[in-house]
Amino acid sequence: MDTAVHIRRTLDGDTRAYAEVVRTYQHMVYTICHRVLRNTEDAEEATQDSFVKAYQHLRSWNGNSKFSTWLYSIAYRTAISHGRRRRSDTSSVDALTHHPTATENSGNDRSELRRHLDQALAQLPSEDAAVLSFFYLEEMSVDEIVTVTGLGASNVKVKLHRGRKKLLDALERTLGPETKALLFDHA
Amino acid sequence: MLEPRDTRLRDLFQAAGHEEPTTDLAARIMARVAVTPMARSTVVKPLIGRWGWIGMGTVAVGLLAVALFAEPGAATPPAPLARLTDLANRMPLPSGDWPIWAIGASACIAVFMLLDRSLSHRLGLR
Repeated sequence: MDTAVHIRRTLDGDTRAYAEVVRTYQHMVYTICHRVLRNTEDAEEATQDSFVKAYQHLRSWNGNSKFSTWLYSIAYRTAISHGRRRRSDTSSVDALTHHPTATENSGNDRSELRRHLDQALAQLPSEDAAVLSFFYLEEMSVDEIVTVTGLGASNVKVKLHRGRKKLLDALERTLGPETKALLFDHA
Repeated sequence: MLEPRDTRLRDLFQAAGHEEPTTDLAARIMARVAVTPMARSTVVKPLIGRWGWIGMGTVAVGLLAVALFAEPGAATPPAPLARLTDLANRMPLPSGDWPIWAIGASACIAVFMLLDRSLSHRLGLR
């Protein structure tokens, strides 16, 4: 069913409809938070806060913009503010000491690839890592990234350009030979 | 249009997929949502509506025009006021000499009381 329908039902008081919204978007929201915070616990907390905030202010989503853009904007800003709070608390960053999840325990190629990508993204500033994820994973346009992050268009372009270069350098160092060949042979 | 290296990076990001949260994350979110009230939408509505301001503006401009164009010391009031004066003369006021300021002040008090009642009603205070 369409997200707009679930939202309308949520606004009519059906909280279960919001569970569908959470199920649909939790992975991307969690990914944004994780790419910014690089810590499983903090990312989960920021994800929870993002969905709770979105629920509280659901009436302010006017339906003119894409719901995903509105939600990711909340998630990005929530993660950034968690990051600022964390820096003042000096808690840990665990991007390189990965917390295994159910999928990762099975040791499949996808999670291995994600581990390499996380390691490479961890070498970039967190904002740049998030911007690259919006561009390559969600295939957002520069304009959409501007809406989500609140950064200027030229700033987003600079972050994309600089981030892409740094990411490729980092991937070249961390990736296995097969994936490296796939990325770099034809460049 | 994406460059070949962009296309390969996009393929890499999509092959790696999203980060995997712990399996009970959605349940924890919904547990928090269940005890969270949804914010009520705030509709900003002026206490005095557009037509109220237009009406008050018209009356103010009218009074100003009368004050500016009325000839002081004229035996008869200007035409727009003649009917009002006539109406006032026919009102069943207690006999005696009623100065014009007393009538004006009473009218102002009446207008302010009406305005007060109307605003209180809109705010739900009464």
